[in-house]
Amino acid sequence: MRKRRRRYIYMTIPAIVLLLAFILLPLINAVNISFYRWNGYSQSRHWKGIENYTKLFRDKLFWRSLANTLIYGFGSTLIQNIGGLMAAIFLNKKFKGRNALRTILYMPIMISPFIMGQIMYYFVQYQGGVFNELLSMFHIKSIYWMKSGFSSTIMVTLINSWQYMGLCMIIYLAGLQNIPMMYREAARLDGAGKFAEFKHIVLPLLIPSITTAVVTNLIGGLKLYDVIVALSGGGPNRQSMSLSYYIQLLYFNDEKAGYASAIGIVTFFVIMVITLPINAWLRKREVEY
Amino acid sequence: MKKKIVLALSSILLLSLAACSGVTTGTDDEQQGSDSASESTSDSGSSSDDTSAGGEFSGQTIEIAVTYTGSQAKAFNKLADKFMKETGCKVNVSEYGDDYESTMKTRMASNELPDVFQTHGWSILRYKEYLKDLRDEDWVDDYDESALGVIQDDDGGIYALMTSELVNGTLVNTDVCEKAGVDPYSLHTWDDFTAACEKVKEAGFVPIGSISNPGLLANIAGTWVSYEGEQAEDSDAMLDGTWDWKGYKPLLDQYADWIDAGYFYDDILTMKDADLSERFASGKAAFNIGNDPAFLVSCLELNPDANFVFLPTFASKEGGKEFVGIGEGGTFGIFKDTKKEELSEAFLAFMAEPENALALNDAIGGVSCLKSSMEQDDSYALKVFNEMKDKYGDTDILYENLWDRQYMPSGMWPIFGNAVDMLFDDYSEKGVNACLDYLKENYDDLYEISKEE
Amino acid sequence: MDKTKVQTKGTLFKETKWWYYLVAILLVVIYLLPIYVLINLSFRTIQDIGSKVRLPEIMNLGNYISVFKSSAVWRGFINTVILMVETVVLEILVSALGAYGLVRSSNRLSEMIRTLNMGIMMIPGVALLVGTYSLMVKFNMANTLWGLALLSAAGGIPATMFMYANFVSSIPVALDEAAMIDGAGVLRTFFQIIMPQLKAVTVTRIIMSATGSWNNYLMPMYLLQDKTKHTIILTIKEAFNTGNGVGDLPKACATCVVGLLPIIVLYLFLQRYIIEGQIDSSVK
Repeated sequence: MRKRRRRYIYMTIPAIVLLLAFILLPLINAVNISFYRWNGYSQSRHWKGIENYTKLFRDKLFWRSLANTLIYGFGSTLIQNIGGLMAAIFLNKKFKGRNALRTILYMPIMISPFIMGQIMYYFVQYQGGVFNELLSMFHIKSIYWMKSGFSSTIMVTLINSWQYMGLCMIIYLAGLQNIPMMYREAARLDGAGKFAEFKHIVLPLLIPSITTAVVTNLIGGLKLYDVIVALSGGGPNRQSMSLSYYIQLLYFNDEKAGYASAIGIVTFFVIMVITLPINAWLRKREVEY
Repeated sequence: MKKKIVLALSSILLLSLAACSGVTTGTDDEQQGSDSASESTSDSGSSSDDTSAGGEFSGQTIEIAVTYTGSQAKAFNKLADKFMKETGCKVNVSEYGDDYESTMKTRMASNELPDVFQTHGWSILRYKEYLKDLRDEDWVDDYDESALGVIQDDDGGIYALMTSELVNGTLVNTDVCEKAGVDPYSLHTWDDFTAACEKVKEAGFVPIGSISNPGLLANIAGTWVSYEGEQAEDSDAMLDGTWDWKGYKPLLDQYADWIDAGYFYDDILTMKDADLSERFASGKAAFNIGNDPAFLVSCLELNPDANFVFLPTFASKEGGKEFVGIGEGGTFGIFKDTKKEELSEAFLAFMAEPENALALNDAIGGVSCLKSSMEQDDSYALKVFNEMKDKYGDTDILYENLWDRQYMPSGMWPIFGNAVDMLFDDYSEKGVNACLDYLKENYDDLYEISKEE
Repeated sequence: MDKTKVQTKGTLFKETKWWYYLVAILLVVIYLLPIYVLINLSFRTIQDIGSKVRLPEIMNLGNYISVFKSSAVWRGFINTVILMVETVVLEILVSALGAYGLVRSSNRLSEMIRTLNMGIMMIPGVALLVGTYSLMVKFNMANTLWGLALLSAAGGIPATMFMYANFVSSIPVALDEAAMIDGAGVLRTFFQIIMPQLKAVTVTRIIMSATGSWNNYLMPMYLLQDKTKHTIILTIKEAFNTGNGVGDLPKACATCVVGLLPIIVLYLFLQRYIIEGQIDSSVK
């Protein structure tokens, strides 16, 4: 038995080595850098203690990016989950072409978010973008979609949600199909309307799926980066940046590598602080059947 | 099921291998000059088909990194091929385009740089730490005076070969000016300019066809706050870190007025570079301030029938000096820890030869600054530059290094970029003051930092 | 009573049929529009980019011809495939082994590692960029495909191991013990008894990891500076680069279409398995 135990440990070693080398070490390095002032390429740097951390509390762009990140995270999660659930219910009934539709809805997930952002840039362009072109076909005036930081953030959220809705849809489809028909029929026999049936039978039993979907979406949304680079460039005037984007901007554009690292560490904590409680809360409400 | 996946994957692999081998041995089309250059050098092991005379460097390889893409890259690659033939070595050209700066920064951080790389204006301010001092090279004597002002460090160090300089000023689309009834050569002060903008706007065009970039605040600033005869002359204060930025406010106010009057593009904050040249080339805008003829060269690619001229940056007061900025054009430095020192130096010497320097300058819109090439220069950039000198005749023009390189601490350039975005976002009195505060705050910080080092 | 129920169901279904199809068509349009625009643009000439919705005036195949002739595109494909295979194989193997070891040795340490694992999934990739890069350089791994493969595999381990752990814990230990009685060692038990049980998860993770690797942008962007090592995503990005404000949008779109083609084609062939795998693996 002890030999088995040891073998089990050996099996985990490759994973642990990789994780240590490529994730934990760089993380420690990032923490180290966050205490310096460094321009990112010089061989010299200056110790600054926790100055980078105190600086970020006063940094308006940090708070703005944090707000945007929360919008990206929660906004995407909300839209994707509601949309995905509705799509799953829709697709749960058999009709002609259902499989084809399912395939099409899931397809955008296979495309890189960076490429999707690149393509969608040509949709939201003020002059010559597809959206405005379609509007003009109906004689509606062109809208400057990316005019303000807020509208840019909304557009990015919408586009990101649109792309990944298929994922939620599939998770919910699986969940729906796992609810034994007899529960739903029992409810109907008791005279429950469609809505009540949904609220009291389907929803509670879907909670495991909701947990998976919500947590996955949340983490993904909070880390949003690729699509922002291609679509809005964090603009206009840096008002639609996510924290990830801000970090990269500080490092390469503003040459403040230490500060960028500090924000990176803080972002990590923000994501943890948001996701872990939500995950725990959802876990508790899972109903056994 | 697993079999299907394996089958699909392996068929893709086979297909691509087959196609690749079919393509690399054949000739490439001219869609990207880069392919041909890196093509002939990536078949390592196979005997290279570019060795004519076995030069002293045969068998060695150097890496050169450039910002060029498209037709500029093609011109550069032609020169690289020529160099390969003459010396028998191999040259790997890395074209980084838009990603050049971030890639360079990442490589600098790990002290792992190409043997030769472009310094695009930052040889002293940014890359110096990693560049070999080249002051003893033969071609240093060939430098024109104007070039030394840009390329030479305070202690006499020279870190790059500058084959051409970029002249910075005001770019004018004369087709648009004609339609609006504006004579570009009559403009000498910013007030003249504002009046001209009004006329252009009335004629239905966009007066100032610039994109939001640091140059808007940095390149023209000198004519407000530094030079002889301008509204403020605070150069001394700037250089010792005591400048209070008061003299800068009129510049910001002027911009606020222009923005308010609608002289810029509506979507200036979300435009991309491609939009910029497309619009200027197709005659949608009249002026582009704080820019250089390289931009005109790319516009001409899009519309060969367009007509442009080059003007200096205007003065802020009647009688004040007008300014033409001199910046680095086609400039190359050598990584100080390179293992191919001799070959790299040979490459720079090669680029310094008039024939080669001129070939490059023509493509990138630079003006020669090596005496030997200046004699034979007939590029587009020189043409518009001389045209300006002729037509402007008796006005006193100041030729100096770009304003922020001369008077601002290192690191102010991206700050100007952020400031100009801020300004376009909010150009009210409050916004202008916020912008001014932002600039001053960072100036003070950066000055402190530069003193520390 | 039953009869009326059936009847109601019947009419309900007939009623909903028509607006069902309307919604379906709307969804299809919304979801296929970007692909349509992309393909549409790829057949244009460089001067013809005014409208993006109507069909091109002249069908320009030139873009596709130059894309197919471009060795950069083929190199991108090969690099991407190499990277993908290396990453996926490594990630699946290491994660599955690790998950098995962790779950079966169920002690405090392994529980801690599992929680830590979940925490790692929350680190934004950008934060690690600087630290990772200098590390890679020190060990001469920067600019190599295998180095990037190691890094990507490491990045995928938390999610994959998390999933495997969930599923392994639902495999009864009795199975292991049965194998043990038959004299199989730990490794043999793993490969011959446990892994076959995990087919669904494995397929799902292979596909997710492969897609992730194919589409990966951040790390390859900064780590692969040598153009001969670029993955297809980077080649596409370069195609969209404007270099001095002169861009070639139609050709960039053509490159994009060609770059996306393998993934889409694979997806269409395997979508039944992909989707069903996703379904199976989200049910605990």
